[in-house]
Amino acid sequence: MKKNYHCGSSEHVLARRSFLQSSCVAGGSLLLGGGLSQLATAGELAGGHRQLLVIFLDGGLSQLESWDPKPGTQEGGPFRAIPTSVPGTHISELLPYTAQQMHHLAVIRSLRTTEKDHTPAKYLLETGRNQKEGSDFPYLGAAAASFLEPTESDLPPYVVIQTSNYHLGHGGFLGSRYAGVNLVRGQPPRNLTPPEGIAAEEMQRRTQLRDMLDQRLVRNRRTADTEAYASSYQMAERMSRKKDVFDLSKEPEKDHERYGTHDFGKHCLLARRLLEAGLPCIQVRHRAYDSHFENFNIHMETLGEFDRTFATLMDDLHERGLLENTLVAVMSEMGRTPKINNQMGRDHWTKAWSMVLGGCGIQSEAIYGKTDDRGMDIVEGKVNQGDVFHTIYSALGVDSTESFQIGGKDVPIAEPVHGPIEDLLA
Amino acid sequence: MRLPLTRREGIGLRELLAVRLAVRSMFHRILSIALFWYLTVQAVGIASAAKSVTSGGEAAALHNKIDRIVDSARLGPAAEICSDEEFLRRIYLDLAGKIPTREEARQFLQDSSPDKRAQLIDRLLEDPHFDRNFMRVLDVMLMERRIEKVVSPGKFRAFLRTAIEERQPLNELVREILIADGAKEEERAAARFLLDRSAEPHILTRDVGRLFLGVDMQCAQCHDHPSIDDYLQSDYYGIFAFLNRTYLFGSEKGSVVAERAEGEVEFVSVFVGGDPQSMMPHLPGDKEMGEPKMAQSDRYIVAPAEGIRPIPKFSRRSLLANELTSGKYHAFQKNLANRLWAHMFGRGIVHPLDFHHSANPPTNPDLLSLLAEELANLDFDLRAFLREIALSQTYQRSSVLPEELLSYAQSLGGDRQKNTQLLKTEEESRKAINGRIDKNRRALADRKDQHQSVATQIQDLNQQLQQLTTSISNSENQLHTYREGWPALASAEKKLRELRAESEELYHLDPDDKKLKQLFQSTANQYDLILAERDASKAEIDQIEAKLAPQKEEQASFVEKISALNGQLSKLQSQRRQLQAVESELSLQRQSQRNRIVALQEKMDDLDCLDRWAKTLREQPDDATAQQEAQRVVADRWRNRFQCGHVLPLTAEQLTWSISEALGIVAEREQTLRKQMAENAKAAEEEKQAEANAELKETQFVKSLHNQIEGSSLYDFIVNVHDFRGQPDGTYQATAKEALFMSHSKKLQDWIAQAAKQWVQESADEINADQIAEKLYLTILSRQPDAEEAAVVRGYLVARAEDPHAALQDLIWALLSCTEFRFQS
Repeated sequence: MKKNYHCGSSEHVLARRSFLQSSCVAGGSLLLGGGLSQLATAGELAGGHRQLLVIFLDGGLSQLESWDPKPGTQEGGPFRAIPTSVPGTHISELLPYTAQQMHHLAVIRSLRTTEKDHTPAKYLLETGRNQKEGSDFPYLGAAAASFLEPTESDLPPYVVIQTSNYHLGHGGFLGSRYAGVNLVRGQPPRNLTPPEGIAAEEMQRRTQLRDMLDQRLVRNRRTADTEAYASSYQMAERMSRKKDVFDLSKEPEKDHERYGTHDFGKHCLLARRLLEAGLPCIQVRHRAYDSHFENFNIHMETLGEFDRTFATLMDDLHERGLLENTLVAVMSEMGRTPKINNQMGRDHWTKAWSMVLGGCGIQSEAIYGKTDDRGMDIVEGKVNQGDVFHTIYSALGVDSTESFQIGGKDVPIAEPVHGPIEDLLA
Repeated sequence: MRLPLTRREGIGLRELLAVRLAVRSMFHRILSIALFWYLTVQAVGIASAAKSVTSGGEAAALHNKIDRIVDSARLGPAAEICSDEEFLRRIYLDLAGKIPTREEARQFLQDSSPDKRAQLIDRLLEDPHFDRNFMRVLDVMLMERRIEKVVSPGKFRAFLRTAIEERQPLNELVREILIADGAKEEERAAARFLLDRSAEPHILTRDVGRLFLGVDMQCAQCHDHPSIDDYLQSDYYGIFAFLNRTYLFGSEKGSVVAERAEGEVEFVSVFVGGDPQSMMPHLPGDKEMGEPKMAQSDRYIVAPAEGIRPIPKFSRRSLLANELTSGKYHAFQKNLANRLWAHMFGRGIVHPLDFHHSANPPTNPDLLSLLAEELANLDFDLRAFLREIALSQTYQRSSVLPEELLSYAQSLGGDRQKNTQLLKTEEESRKAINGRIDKNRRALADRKDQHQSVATQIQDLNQQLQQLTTSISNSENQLHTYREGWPALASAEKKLRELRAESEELYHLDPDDKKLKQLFQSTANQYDLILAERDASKAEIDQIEAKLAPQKEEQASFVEKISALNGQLSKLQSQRRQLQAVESELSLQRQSQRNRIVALQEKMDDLDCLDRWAKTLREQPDDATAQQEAQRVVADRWRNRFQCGHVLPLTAEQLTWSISEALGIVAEREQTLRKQMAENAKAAEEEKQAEANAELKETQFVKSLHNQIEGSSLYDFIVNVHDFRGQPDGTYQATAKEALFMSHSKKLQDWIAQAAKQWVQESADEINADQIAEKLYLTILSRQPDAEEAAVVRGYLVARAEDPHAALQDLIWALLSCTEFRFQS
């Protein structure tokens, strides 16, 4: 007997027949092609060419020193709350420049998650899912890129800008096609240009020769994979031609100064450059928020770097009209304990913390949810990463109740038991 | 069941009748139809039936059986047998994991012996590259590119390589990795399977299901799978119960696998709730297994204690390893056969490989059953099994669609109707079977009710009987007591009577003596008392005896009744057993019928796609893209029917090796290594050391060569082709990253430059364009260039005559990066 109950996940459904039929209609790619392009069409219909910028504050930003200050309480720490460009909204005095951009942003102050260790918590906030052995979810950027990538593009669909060589931006079950191309310390992707000694015209000659010889197999054995392979060379060629897009030195000196000469400054400037060039999904990482010791000094320092650069970026995105089509998310893997430990630090905290969204599809100036006077618990509007992911997808025009089709199995785009936070959607 | 035969076209009718003939019932019906038709058709039918009987002898080789089964499920034409060039590259990539060298290619293509394909298969199965290739294949299959947690992947691969070299049967290999706990140094490598999964029972349960049974029961951990009937929570916990006592002992790289002797499994469905169900170990579909009962003090070889790894006398995990791999559990060999088939064809008969269930049945269930059975018959011998697959025509089909397919697509009418009719018949028979199953279930329920009621009656009667028996036995006890007391009472009465008579006599002698009077009176009183007591006892005895008689009668009747009811009960039980047997027979029928229906539906889908293709050609004669698209869909489906060869991207390993081979890196390394070895040998000789075993040396040489090639470049390719380690294979996606790597990687360009340089040197005084063209194609694509291609090469060399080195680099790069090289067809 078929069970009538449903665990709220359509992960189980293998609609083999309808899947084969649809692939029969959509063009025979039994993997992703068909399903994704159909979903992507939905996304495109909803709002033109949308982009995603995630700024990930690695280690766990303290909500009390940023979006949800509790000055004057035992847990509040030494910093004051300051008014912002949105009347009635206060944030920490560590973010004076960002305070002037709050009219572009919405704050969630009632986030509750479950993972307290960095690795599983990062997985949770990067993919929207709990890390389970065997499951292989893509990063938000990779998943979103599968919907947002334009049909024709000279650029990779997803990049991760960071300082470490440790590869990030996992494509998970979506594979390498959507995995983040890592740009380390603002450098262009690997192998972008021919090695020394091979001139550009040499490459062109080779390509022509290749096209001439590359006929036989393609002639009568064409498959979705062979087509994709052929086009990957075109893509590589275009990327190579567009190498300037990744070249930060092309940005005016003045902007380098405005953004700051530190890595985060460069990274945000590169993000602006790539957004302008139309690259669909970008993640910029900022490090060292894990403040078990000297929380206040650490936040003063890191947010000092973050604040001005981020505010400059928001201002530019707005000025240049990019914010209309770009969703910006500032997130961490967790918050920090209200209780100050005996080394003036704050520890890992998942019970009541904050994050910020802004840009396209987001109700700017909104403050969602509330914590109690001391920030110890959520009083109103409890949400988790599942709700956040649904919200982000919805703001990007993606129907997050749909599923990916992976190797014949349906995998919901976002956790089916959650849904978008309607109050945050514009 | 009636068929409108007269309206059918010849070919459809003929095939239809062939099917019907098997059912026999058609004979009589046919008799009533046109005599001429009947005679011709029957002759054809019988002839083909007879043929299939004679060729279906027991002795037929597996590869013939494979072909016959694939052929009997065939829809329309199959692709032709592939050319030597296609076969050469395919078999090298599948068995050796790389393309052939130029010399190997030339030799094979020039060879004119009729059995050269079989010879090549046998040679490749014995080649050291086979060992290396399958070391990688099995590693990816078992470890799915997991990163190192406890045991190094290299160590595990070396273990696999030895197993392959020593021809360890695959079931034993699996058994070994499930048992190995890594406590002994020599078992550490094998223990990577468990250790690098942290020996975590849930992870292991899922992977045992996926990798060894072809079922992904992850969802069944918390409840029965909501949409897949056969993934039951009880089955998940059946496997889990083999593993629940296993755990990781120690820390970091020093960890070992440990097992306790205690720990039971209980589970609750998150949907249904209720009391926890306890579960003993069992494989899906099998009975729960027992385990030896042992006193607590007696359960361990090494008892658990602080910092001590316990070793139980009875290991549930070993039980799993043994049960799974015994060859008696069909699902195990099915999965293994399917995975090996998928290696050779790029697609499983069940696909995805870990998603075997009734709604996703094998595309050809008979084929899979055959392969599973034969794999076990071949004692799980990897080489013998692959050899049969490689020898089959099915494996050797071209990846180009058969030419006749289009004309077939344009005249589907007959097959369509036939298929529709078959589907209808199957649907009807499904209803019939379901009806029978329902009826059977009702009968079973009825017997169960009866059984229940009889059992209740027996219980009641037994209760009454017991009460009665107790009461009888009480009475009998009483009786016994009374009867025992009787002689004493009787003799007391007698004695008192005599005493009374004596005292009366004395009293009469002197009636005035008060003492005598008193004595007489008291004796008389006592006598009266004892008399009364005696009489009362007598009365009791009579009464009890009177009561006992009917009670005993009643008891006898109860016993009789109960025995009658017990007779009834065992009759009902045997009826139930019969009905249960019928039920399991019927469910088997239903299962195979479901498979037939799914297969027919697939066929319908295939026919639809063919139809769409024909229609596109008819209605959009100018739209080349639409036509190509429609044809591609058909091709994909034909390949998945195994009627046409697959076109597959090379794996990272195949690509590494093929590029290294094509660019002469392998040859160069080999040369250097040989030279080194010769020098070492010379040095050893000079030092008068004992001569090492030549064969051993050769093995070591091959291994170091392989390690050198893989060590220097494999990682780059894996990162660029598969992007991340740890990503399950099977989902190839072309990326700009890979194309950038192929186009601009310094290392690759250096290799190409080096190869080109050597070629220029080799061609001595003069560059002969035709020779170069042949060399290029044989080296890189393992075939001769056709005239057109040779002309392009010639033209290019002429155009760049001023710099032949640069021209060669361009040509080498162009062929390395072309689709034909990147894919296997």
